[in-house]
Amino acid sequence: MSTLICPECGVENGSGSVVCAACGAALIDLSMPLGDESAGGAQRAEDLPDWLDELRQAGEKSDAPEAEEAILPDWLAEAGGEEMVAAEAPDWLEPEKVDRDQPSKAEPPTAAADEFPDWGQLAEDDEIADLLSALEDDREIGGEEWEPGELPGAGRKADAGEVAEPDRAPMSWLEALEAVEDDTTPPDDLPDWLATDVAESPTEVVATGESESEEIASEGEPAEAPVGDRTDEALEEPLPDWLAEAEPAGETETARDDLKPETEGSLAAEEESKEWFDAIEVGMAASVAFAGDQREAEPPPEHEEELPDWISEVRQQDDWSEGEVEEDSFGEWVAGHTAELKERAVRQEPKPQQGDTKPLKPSKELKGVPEKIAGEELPDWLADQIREDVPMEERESLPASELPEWLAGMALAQAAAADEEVIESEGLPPESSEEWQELLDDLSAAQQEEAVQETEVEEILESDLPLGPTAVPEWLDALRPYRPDQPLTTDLDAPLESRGPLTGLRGVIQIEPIVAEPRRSGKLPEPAPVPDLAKELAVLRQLTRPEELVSTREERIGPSPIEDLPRVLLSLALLAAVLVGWLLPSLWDALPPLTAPTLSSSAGPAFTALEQAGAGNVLVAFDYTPAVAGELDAVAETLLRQLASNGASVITLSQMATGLPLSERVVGQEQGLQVQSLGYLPGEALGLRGLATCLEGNDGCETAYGRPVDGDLAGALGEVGLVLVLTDERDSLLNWIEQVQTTTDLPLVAGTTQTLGPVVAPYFASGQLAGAVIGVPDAAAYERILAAQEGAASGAGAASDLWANLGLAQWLVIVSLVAGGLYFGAAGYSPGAREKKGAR
Amino acid sequence: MRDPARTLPLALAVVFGVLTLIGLLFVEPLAGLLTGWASFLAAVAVLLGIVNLLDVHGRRLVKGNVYSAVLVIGIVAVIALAITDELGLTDQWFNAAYDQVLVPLEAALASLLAFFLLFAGVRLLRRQRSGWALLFIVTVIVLLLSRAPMPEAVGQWAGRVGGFVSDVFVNAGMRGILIGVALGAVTIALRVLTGSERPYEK
Repeated sequence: MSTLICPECGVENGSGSVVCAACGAALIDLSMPLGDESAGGAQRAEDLPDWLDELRQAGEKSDAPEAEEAILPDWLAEAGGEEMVAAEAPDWLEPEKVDRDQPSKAEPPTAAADEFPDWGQLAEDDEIADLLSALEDDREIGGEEWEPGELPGAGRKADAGEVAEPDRAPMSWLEALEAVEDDTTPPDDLPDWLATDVAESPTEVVATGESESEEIASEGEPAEAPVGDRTDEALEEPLPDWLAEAEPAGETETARDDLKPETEGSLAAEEESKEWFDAIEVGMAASVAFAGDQREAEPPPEHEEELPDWISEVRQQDDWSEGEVEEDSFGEWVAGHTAELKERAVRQEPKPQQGDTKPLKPSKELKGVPEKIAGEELPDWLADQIREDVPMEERESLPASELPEWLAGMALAQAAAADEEVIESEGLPPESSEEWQELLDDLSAAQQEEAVQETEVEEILESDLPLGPTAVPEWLDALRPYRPDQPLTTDLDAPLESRGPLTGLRGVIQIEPIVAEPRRSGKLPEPAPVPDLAKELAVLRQLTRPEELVSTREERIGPSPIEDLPRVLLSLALLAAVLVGWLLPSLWDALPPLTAPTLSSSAGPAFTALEQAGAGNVLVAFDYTPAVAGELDAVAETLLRQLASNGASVITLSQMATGLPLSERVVGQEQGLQVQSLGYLPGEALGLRGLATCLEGNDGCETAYGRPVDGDLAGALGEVGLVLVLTDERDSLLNWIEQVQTTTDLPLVAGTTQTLGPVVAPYFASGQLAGAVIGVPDAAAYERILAAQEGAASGAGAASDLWANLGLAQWLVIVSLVAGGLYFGAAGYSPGAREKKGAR
Repeated sequence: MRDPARTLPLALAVVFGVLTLIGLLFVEPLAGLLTGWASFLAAVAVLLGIVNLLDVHGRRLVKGNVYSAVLVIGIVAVIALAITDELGLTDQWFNAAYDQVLVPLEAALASLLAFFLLFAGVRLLRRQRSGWALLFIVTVIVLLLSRAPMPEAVGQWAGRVGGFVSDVFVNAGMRGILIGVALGAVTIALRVLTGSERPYEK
């Protein structure tokens, strides 16, 4: 703390001292001129409330003794007497004038003096200095630094978040003042009344003056109203130290600036004044709450009767809590703001107690400021703010960021204790309780919503969800080639398109003439050899190497010449056997006696059936092809030989186109055989069915096998006594058996190949076939029988020749099968073959 | 409504099948008339087949197919020889061409079967060493021996063994096959008569 050195005696005084403690000389020049009123000041005075204007006018008229007498309070008038009025100072101030040089007498009244009431202005400077010094010390001794707009108790209540305690907060503040009282010795030259007051209850006096001054200062308008009397030049001058310390610098500057908007008409000044006004309102709310509590707590001052009238009036006017609001302009203005301040004070009140103050009617009653107050008495800029600004509900729910720090902290503390308040508010009246509950719910809901929004933002930032349009980083936004809000620029120097659909446009990107040209890719650099990965590298190179063209031509999977040798040898051996039998027919006779061919079980009945047919008509069907002609021709010749020997007439036909030439060749070889040919018989089973009709000897045989049958042939067919079928096919044999034999009941003899022998055997066993000559062996045996019957010596014929060739071939086949079976069968059980099989 | 192209043949097949069956069982002239029509239609079908064969291979001949050319030339030549023989311009040229060309060719192709069967029999145990393969080889050898020229003592014994095998095992197996074929034929006939089987649409 800096010290002040008295210019008179050189004694060091405290920084807050106004007069020297030793000699009583003034340490601070209190007579600093504020200058004359300017036009702006006069204009600003028009907006002042009437009561301030009246006070101002009274101050201007203070030169006149009558006016002075009228303005002075009674208690001051009584205390001072006529002398004080005449000398413009009370009597108790006279000694001071005599003792001192009084350099400040000729000086104009200071600004500080203007801010105080007249009664304070009439007091001695040293007294005021002492009082102010005591206040300054009290701020320090009180243990907390509180702002002028903020009362000590309010600050603690706000910080603690507790309910205001009207009994303790002022008392602690007063106790602090009492503590100061011990160190502060009242000057001896104080007037009696003041000395008595100070001696008896200096704290109360100071507290009363302090509270009153603080109320006025905190309410803003009443405190600043005297400032309005100052000129602009005075506003620009620095305030005294004590005043500068007592008043926040920001608010002072703001207050000064807020007084200018009407003269300057600046919008920025209006915004600043709004902030200033909000700060004032907050301060007033706190002071009102504190004042209300203080009034309820502390007894009325003992020297109430000694206070000036105007203070009493102000005190009465300030009893807004009692609902006594005067109808004058200031009263209306204060009433309007007071109502709003009440609402804010109630909302900021953490724990209102019933009975301390009347339950304030919050937001609903304060939503609409009365038109009369808002439009007439309020300053234009303030009225516009109220009219054009956001609704009261939204203003009341301003975010915490727009509130002052101390108020934001209070709001947060209130939100934290919201649940407790709900429970404790049950004792409140139902209506106010509900309103409180709604207010607290709104506040808590807003805080919860804000917390939820913050949580969502954090989740979005932490998640991988795509960023919203507003979250695009700047660097990414800078890469945007085209911005919709910016017009497209056209390069006028670009060539003009003269062809195609884009004719007339500039800056057209031409099509690349060669889109892509195949080329061989460059050789990859050799990777650095790594000893441990040499093998893997070789494998990778092999994998990346283009596959060699593999011939898809399948190699011949056949036996090798050595393996194919048995096939060739077998073929040559089989061919040689046939040739030997055919070229050397006498060789068979030279061989050791072999068994003669014997008739099969079916061949004997066939011989008998042919013998029984006698000289009758025999129907011979040549249903075989040249492929088996070598075997069946021998059978056919043998049977036709027997028929020819019997003198039978043969009617030939064939179900095969190639059968007719065969029949003509075979029949032509037999001499004396009567032959009639029916030709080709189409229709297979149906043709045979129609032929059977003719074979039955009916008159209906007009057509046979699709063509008309003349009378002679039809008669021959009706006289057929035997049917001889020469075939190598199963279906043909079955058709003859099923369609002809079963219908006509004629004996049916079959001459077939050896391959068809198993098919013939069942029908022969069943009696459907009268007999069957099967293959060359039966034909050879049949020739032997015919030769024996005819008395021929050798009985040789085509069948016998084939039998010799066939015998050699059959032996060759038998030997080959046995040899092959033994060889491959034994080889399959050899150890090498087993290993090979196991490997597979 | 159904497609007439399918319903008409079905109706004809069912109607004439039933009529033929009735004729064969009760009205013989009706059966003879219907079977005569069937034989005539079959002969016409052969003629149509020959014409169709010439048409198909004639178009292939135009495209340069040599085998089709041989076929077309053979058909035309045989028909021409038959006409000339019928007209007396030639003497049995048709039969000579048949005997000298067709019969040796078909006989040669059929004779190859003996070589194939022989070689297959020899290598049978190389490919498939099983009891059934061995039984097959043994049966073949026994039947060949029974029909092969051999000394009479052995030949008679072999003939008896071969006869036993043929009369018992071969006949039994073949009868079973024939019975199955007969049952299948009856079933097919009933299906054709009821319209379930339509071989004429294939």
